[in-house]
Amino acid sequence: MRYHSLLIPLLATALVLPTTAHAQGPESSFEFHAALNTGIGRAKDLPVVGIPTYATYDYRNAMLQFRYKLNDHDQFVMQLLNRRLGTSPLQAAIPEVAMQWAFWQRRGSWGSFKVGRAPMPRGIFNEIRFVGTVLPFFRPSFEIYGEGRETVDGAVFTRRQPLGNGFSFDFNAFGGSNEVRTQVITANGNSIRAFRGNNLKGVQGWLNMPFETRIGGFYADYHINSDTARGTRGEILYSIESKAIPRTAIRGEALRIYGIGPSQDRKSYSTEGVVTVTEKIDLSTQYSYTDNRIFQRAPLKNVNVAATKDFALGGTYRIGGGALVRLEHHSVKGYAFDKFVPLLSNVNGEPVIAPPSKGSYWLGSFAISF
Amino acid sequence: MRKFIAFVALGVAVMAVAPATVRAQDADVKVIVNSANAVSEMAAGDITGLFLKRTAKFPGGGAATPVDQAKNSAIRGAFSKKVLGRPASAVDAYWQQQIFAGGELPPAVKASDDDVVAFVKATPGAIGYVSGGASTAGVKVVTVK
Repeated sequence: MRYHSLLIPLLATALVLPTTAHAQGPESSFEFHAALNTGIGRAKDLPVVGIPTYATYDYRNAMLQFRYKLNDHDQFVMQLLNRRLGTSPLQAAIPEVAMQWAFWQRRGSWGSFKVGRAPMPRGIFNEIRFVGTVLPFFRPSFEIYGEGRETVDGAVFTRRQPLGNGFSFDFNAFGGSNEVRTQVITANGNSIRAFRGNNLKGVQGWLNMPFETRIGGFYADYHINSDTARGTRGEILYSIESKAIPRTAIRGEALRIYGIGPSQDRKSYSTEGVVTVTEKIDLSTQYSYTDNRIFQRAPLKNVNVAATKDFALGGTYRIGGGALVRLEHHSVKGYAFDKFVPLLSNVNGEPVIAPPSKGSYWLGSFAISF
Repeated sequence: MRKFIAFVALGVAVMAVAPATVRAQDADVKVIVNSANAVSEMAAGDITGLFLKRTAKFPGGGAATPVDQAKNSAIRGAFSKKVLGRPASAVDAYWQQQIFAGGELPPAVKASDDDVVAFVKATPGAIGYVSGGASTAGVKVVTVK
């Protein structure tokens, strides 16, 4: 709410400066960009990712980005983000309008350095996770990207190193702190946790190959000091993306989050394929999976369950002018729904896993960016 | 398991029908640089690197300033397809990705062949493209390998 006072004059500025503001290229010092990704969703049987069993129209990501080029090497970038997640319990942990980015950047032949609040280089989609025009679905895999971990409050260094024969290596290193928001499954239901990861340090590397293929690795660790968790958490993410076959994109990612006690070890996987059938039409498929360890208090033992399996099919139609419409269907199986579903029962003191629940949802969306 | 098989089958089926449905771009394209530029031929991959700002210098080492044409123009579509090796929509998506990842901004845009030629003529490190029939007096046409 406190950002409303900032948003209104910025919006007004954008509206009264249409000829100078819109993407003018390197000749203008000031650049204005915007993106909207808004959806209509309806779930069957169980509410999931904020989509209730009745239709919600309150599902949106909107961004305003402002850049001011100070000279040939330096720029200041600011991005505001508005998010609505339908009926998701996570909405309570997300501000109506957030200062998503605010960083100064210096570029040179040695690479680039960002200071302030900057996008976190993490996996294929982290930096563009809300931009519907460049995503195959409304959002990237929830299992890999979840909520939070979008930005670094600190510094980010980036360098591209040519390796010859069309190969290159992108190296990113960052440090500072970050926001983490998660919807955690426990035996008693879902729990929303929002906290900061302090003493954050991490790296992301990409080996770019000449045949439109890249392989990436990410590592970060940070210290949590909240009411519900205390200690150091580590994250490892492996990614591969290939567009080697014309008009197709194939992606796979595997994530491991561990730490905060010896028994926490969450593993998630996602794979997807996109085919550009014509210049206007894409068809997409995605399968995501999370193996989540469920914590029990002694004398009960921790158990592993397939917390979520999400199978999605989608179609995208580009209507021109940088806009598109999209329809997607997700079949979800597991325990991570917005409404409590039975997860465990105890038989003679031993935890017994309840059968997974099933749900599905449709999501139609409109996206534009410029 | 059935869903996984359906996933794979759908992907294979769509890939099989996709090639027949994509239109080819037939327009002719000339890539031009400033007449003082020593470059006379370039690999399509090197031109792609400059226009997507993956590299900032010509293969010989000079700093490059790429200049683009209007977003929905036929010549931009043809250049994207023939030289960059991808449809114009994919190039647009690439730039949206760069902008909203806090990365590079797209090259400056000129409204016509004449404007591109004038810019390239006046800018030592410039590289642009024009239609096959456009006058290229005062600039150098680069052979695309």
